[in-house]
Amino acid sequence: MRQALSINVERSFSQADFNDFAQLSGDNNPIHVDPDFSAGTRFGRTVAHGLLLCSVLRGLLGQLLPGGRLVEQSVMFPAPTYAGERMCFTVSVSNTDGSGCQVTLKVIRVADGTVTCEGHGKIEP
Amino acid sequence: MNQLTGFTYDEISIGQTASFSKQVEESDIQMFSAVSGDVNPVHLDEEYAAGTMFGGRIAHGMLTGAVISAALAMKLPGPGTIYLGQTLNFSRPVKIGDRITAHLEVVAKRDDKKIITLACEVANQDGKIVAIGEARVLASPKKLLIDRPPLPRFKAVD
Repeated sequence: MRQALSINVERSFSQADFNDFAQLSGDNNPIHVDPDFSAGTRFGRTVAHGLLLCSVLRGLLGQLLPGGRLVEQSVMFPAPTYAGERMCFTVSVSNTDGSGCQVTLKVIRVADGTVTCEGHGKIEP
Repeated sequence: MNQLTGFTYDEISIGQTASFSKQVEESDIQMFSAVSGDVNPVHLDEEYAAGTMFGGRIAHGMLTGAVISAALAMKLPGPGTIYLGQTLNFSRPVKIGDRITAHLEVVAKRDDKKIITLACEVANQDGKIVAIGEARVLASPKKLLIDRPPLPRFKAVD
């Protein structure tokens, strides 16, 4: 059996990252960019865009399986990702067959292990 | 109109639709590479990309996903929306210069948890589907009015 393929990176976001992603995506939801508004939400402060997490995961997949095409992806966001907290992004190959690789995707908050994004995807050559 | 608003859970009905468009520009590709660390030459290197099955550079798939995110947050349900999950199937490449439009349709409401499920379809300027999927979100419990975001976009930095 071949060694399991996995890669991870630790990263923390700043409010500036959320602002940049808002401008890039067009998603200017105040839960991402307005600290005053966010103080009154269930989260109490701004949170990362889900697609910002997916974008970092996609970048990691590019390192794990260079040149592979992501043809499908399914993710959940069970908890918020805040600015200023170390997050660990992990992508792993869970299965390979003739048509490509199944991959698992996960983001956890390093401080307490809370999962803030998890899911899976399929990469084809 | 300089402000945007959305819909609360109770104001949303099955079959309700919304859409959001974005022109994909060179600066988007550069910024997305920086944010994601995805420096696949199929996005960045014209010469390399010309020799691939796409015949030229293509946009990052997550940029297509981000347009869905923008549609959810800006249109339906609108500002204050909380993302719970998203499925995505990518069916066609998006090229630089393409104008892509995310179309949303409410397909289910779960009253006990106030979860809304929306079918998502992203099409290019020719009406060809580039991605489909399903989003699960929570709508803002109260109606929000937010300032329309400023128009100036990222500029490529030399």
